[in-house]
Amino acid sequence: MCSRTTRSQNKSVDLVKETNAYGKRKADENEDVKPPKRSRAVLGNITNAASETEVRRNGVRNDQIVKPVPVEPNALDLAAKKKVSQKSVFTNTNLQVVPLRAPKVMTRAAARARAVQETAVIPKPAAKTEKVAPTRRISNEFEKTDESLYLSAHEDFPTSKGRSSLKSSKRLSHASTVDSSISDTFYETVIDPHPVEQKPPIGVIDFDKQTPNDPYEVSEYTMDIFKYLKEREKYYPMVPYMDKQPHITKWMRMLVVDWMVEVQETFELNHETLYLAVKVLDSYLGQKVILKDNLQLLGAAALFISCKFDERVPPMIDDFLFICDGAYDQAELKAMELDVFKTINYDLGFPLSYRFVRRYAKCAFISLPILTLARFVLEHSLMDYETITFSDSKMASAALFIALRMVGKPGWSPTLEYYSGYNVEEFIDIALKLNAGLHRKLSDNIKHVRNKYSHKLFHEVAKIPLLTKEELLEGNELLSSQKRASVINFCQAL
Amino acid sequence: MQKYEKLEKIGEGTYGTVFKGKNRDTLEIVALKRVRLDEDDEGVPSSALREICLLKELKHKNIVRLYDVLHSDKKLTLVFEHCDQDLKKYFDSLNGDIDMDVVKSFMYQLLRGLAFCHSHNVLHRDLKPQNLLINKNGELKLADFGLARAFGIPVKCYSAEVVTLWYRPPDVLFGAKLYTTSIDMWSAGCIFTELANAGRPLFPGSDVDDQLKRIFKLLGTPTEDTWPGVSQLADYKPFPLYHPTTAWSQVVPRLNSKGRDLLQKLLVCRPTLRMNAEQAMTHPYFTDN
Repeated sequence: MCSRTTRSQNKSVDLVKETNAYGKRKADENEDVKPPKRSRAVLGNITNAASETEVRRNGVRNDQIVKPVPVEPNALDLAAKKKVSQKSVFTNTNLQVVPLRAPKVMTRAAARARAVQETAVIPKPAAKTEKVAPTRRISNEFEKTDESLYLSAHEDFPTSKGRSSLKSSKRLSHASTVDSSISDTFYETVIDPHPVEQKPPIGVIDFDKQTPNDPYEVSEYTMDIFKYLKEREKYYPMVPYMDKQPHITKWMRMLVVDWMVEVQETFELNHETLYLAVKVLDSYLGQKVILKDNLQLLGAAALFISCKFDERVPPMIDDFLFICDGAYDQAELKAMELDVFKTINYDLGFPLSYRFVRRYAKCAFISLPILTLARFVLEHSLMDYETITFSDSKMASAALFIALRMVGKPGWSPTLEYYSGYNVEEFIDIALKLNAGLHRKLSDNIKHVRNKYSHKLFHEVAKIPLLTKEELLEGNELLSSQKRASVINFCQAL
Repeated sequence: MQKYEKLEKIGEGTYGTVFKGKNRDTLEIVALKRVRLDEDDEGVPSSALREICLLKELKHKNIVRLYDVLHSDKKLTLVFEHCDQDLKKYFDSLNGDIDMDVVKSFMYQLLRGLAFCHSHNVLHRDLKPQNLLINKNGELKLADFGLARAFGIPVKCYSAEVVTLWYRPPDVLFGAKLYTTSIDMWSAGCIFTELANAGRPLFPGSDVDDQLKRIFKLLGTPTEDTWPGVSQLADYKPFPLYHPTTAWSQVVPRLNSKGRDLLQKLLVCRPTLRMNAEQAMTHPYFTDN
């Protein structure tokens, strides 16, 4: 594009610094150990899980996996711990391994920043040894069936067929319509892109006007941005794919997503990264058939890509190989990364329910515990294949609605209706599905979301009693009696 | 790569070599940015990944267009629209003299491109003359989104190691990790000055301290009164108390008073008070004739 002169050197220096910052962070975490020269790979090749995979792959991978790696104390220590718990891999319980990154305070962001963000409050392992490291090869758990997923109860609320009304249309083109010449008169035709200021109706607080001096709310652009994100949802339709995937099941998908939640926690990733990775996973599966053995590799690649997009300091490739317990090697992950990136057409612009829910909650001055409850509902829904086709802004609305109802609030308000652009009728079907999903008792293998949100730092919202569908609908004056009747009929018909 | 014929090398981007190329079918000239994948153990470089993803969303005439992405196991090739030169090279060709209408035109286009990025949730984070491309029609386009990122609302903690030193705002120089669209607006102010002075950079600092000193000598040293919270920033340190200059006509002698007014609204140390791109586009400097 442009040739670089000496001035551009500045940036390369900066980039180097950025890399260094990572090294420093690692060092901080392992105070007693010298910053290791990325020796994570050594951990990847000691487990039974790895050899099991090798066998499955006709032993081809053996050479690739076993590399001479400088051994240093930390690695040995971890390796030892890992060996102790090898068996557990095959008894379908989780390894009790100290996660490499866990024993430490907030690395990714300072505590203060955390407070500002209001979001990434991640429970620190009170006792390190109890923290479950995501070092498990999950494919052996794939042997189960969809049925074993649900241990009991509420089976009377089956899942819907993909109800996507979204059309597979071409991605939005944002070609501007403004005159493209730069004649001398360009400034006479200055076009104010927003000549009419959007004003909320009476009774609705203009949230963005409340924060004009808070630059971090980016108030002048927020309405535009969320309008844009909502508009863009239709360009990211998810297609139901299970019928076309002979090798995997909903249960396997749930296991992988649960594992991804675990990775998000352990690496202290942004929640956006997790949500994005799940989108990437589903988007890929909507287009390509995957073998059972590669599903976890796909999950790792989806996270790998999402981290590079959203994380300030993304984990390294060896971190991802490690959390897959050596089941895959570097070449495989890189190849999968490229395959995924290509398959999703290099597009990571998925609108995410997580972002909508934060926006809506903020605009309506909803307290953090209630927002956290809504986030729990959403994160729980990530594991539910049946929700993949839903609109993210509607999912966010539905989750927030459920949360409000669960804590005894009226539910939807004119303010929420204004900022979300939805009335209750538009998302009540989704709310009922999400609520039913919460009632489903999952097997013990699937527990990370619930555990996470049972923690104090998450206001223990997962312990709040669930509502029945009748309770969810009860006394909601915003829902017309006609619609209520039809929704109840709808529920009964299922 | 059959679709494009590789011509001469144009330069080095943040993460790859840029070649001129020709579409064999249409004969259209393009820019090919080649990202080698085998040299990097980390797979696709995150800068390339972000640039591709963000530019796919940002289709605007003041933002360089990404036409296509070609891939092989060994490399990714990004196919961009070709522009004749970057603003830095343009400056070099000027011999210290620039048409003030061109200044206004370029500045307006810069703001228009930025407003589009910002309203589409993207921070550029590396604005400087080398990253602004211009073509024969006098169009200006934002390029090199290798450091760009999508921002959340509220804004999260990002890296403080962004923006080339000379165009880096004082809050980021003080280590602020929470920043938003204002980061690009500072750079825009610096570039505005550089345009008006036909390519003489405003704050050519040699290191962070020197950079801040140069800024404060012009704008005055910020205090807790003028910028509440400044002393709480991670890398804050006290500087001699300079007074703001009143001699803006000496800083940008050829810029008219409205232009100087706009400039002073962009070059504001306290990020909250910095004008945003949309406001700047409606400034009388552009609207009055």
